[in-house]
Amino acid sequence: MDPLVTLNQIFQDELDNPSLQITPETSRDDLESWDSLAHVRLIASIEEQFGFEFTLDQIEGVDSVQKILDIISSQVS
Amino acid sequence: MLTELAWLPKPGDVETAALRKAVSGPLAGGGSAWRRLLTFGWPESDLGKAGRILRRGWASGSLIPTEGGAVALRMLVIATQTFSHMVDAVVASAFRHGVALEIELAEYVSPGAWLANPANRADGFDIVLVAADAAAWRFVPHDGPVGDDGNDRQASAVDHVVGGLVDRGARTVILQTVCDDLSELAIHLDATLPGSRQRYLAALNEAIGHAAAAGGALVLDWARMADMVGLETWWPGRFWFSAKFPFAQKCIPLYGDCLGRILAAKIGKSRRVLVLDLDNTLWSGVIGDDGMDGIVLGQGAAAGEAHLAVQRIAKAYSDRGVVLTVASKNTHDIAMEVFRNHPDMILRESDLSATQINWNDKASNIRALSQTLNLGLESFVFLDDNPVERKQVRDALPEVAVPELSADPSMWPVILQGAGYFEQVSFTDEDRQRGAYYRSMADRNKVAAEAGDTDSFLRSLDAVVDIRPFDPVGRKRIAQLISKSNQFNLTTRRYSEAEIEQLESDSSVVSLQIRLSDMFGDAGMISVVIGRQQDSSLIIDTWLMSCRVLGRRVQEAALMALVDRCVSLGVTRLVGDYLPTPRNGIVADHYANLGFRHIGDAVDGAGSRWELQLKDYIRPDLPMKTEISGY
Repeated sequence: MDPLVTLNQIFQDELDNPSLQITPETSRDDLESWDSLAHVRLIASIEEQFGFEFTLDQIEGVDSVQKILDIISSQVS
Repeated sequence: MLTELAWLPKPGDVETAALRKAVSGPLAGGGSAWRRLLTFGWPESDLGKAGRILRRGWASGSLIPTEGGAVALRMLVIATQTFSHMVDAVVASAFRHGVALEIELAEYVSPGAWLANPANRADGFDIVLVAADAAAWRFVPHDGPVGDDGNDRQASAVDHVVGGLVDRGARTVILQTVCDDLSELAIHLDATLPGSRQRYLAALNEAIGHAAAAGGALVLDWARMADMVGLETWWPGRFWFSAKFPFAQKCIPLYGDCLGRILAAKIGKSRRVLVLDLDNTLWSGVIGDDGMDGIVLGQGAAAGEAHLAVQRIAKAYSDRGVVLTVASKNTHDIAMEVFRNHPDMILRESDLSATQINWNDKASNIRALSQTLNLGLESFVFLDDNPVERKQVRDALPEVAVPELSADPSMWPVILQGAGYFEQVSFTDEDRQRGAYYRSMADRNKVAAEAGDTDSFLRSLDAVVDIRPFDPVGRKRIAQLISKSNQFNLTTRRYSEAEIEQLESDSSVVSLQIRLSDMFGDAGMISVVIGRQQDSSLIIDTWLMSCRVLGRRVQEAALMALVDRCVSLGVTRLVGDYLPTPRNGIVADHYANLGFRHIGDAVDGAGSRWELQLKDYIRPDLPMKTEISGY
């Protein structure tokens, strides 16, 4: 499945917004509900779904959907 | 296994679809449907989702917190680490145990720092949870052994917090024990070195236990949870450094469930009866087919030893006051022969308070046990190796807890303990005696059948009712009865041990603690009455009794003592309220039966108010001896 589709479901669940539609361009600045707590929940949920672990730097550094997609593709390939 | 709450059935397609649907619209059936949905073992993210919907529903009024028999509690959490990420999951877990929890957070603050702000108050909360890690209790060494284990400093730090919270109006404090942190240095030698981190933490946990016992606080044994799943699993790892999570997220369902159980125990909702299947549960094989020498039990065979371990934990629960019973499809005499004569049995006939061994279905038999013991189905746990039987009971009697079990018995004691059905908030001599008491109840029923009419039966029991005012000796048991009694309880008001202590010296209060003994044994304290004098009336604030002495006319003896006390105080009128709950229907006619007159609604309109003019009181001739002292 397209990682963006899976990611969209995770964002909907963790940000508690069933109608949310993210794009690669979506960033933390665009989403008020993407606060620090939601961030950690997103990270944990992505790790569980995709089966890898973010490094500490990545946890702090990812601030857009594109950056998450980049890390996912580097892990999967 | 434990982090996944393996004793709960896994949600199937139906449940998953129901939860998905509830995200966008209300769940048909409201609070009761949510209770049922939460009897499944949801992963952490779904549990959080459920909690979020519940909290939103309660806040908007679309769900009623107390629907389906739940009890609403407000809890203040003083957390040194992050707690907000698990509020939803904790709320959902507590609701599984019949507690509708409203949480207020004081986050990233140590209890000492919280108390240092004089504006912080703990009244207005039913519960204060001190979610403090080792670092929050100061002086924990990081740099190497400090020479002594610091017992005195730790004890005074913990006492200071418990005392301080009580001063700020806390009704019930829950302390957490602490566990080790995998990132801190420890070497094997440290077990021998005074003041090493290891020894320091052990001493701290001891201090927490002492402070809780002395100050009437409860303990949530964090260290035990960490031990059960293993420190490596428990430790939050990267999420400690990036988000100050106190433990790994996958342990949140276990933490929430453990907290939910303690809260449930506090309000009298823990379970009390363990129903055991026999064939392939207590032993391997079928007694009716294989016979005494064919079943496998005891040393020498792996399965036989594992079944012994199951019996051992059942026996250990029984020593803690859990009532053991049997529901089995067998011929009664053949099955009982194993209890009587198999040399390897740990459980004996005398350990069982009641049995239903016949060819009826299990649900009918459990219902019959509930009637025999006068205990509600919501206090029952059913242990059976057979998934079909488990499902039949689960479907027919949703109130009964039915743990999922592994295929072979080696993990059953672990699963039972993980499920923690039988949490207690105190332990008294009455608990130790409970099994014996319920056993003698069956004997009494036999005598009743022989005696014919009730009063001559009661007379034949040579019962003695002992009535006296509240005192320090009875305080713990009084608190336990007040927190646990749900059925024979006119007003279901809960009081903490500290509040009960105050009643002892309040001259406007008439208090009764009532014990019952008879030829079959000592039932211990079984009833509590609290009255408050207002001019020439005595308002009965609380009247409760253990259901196991129903039909013994103890309430009439209590009324007699109340009336005597009123006469000496110059009181001319008794007033009592009945406040109905889903569970106290058996006392709807309590006051009418005692000759009270219905005079209208209870003050807040939530029930009925009853009155007895003392001049109309007729002293009954009771079939037992009544000893009143201390007034």
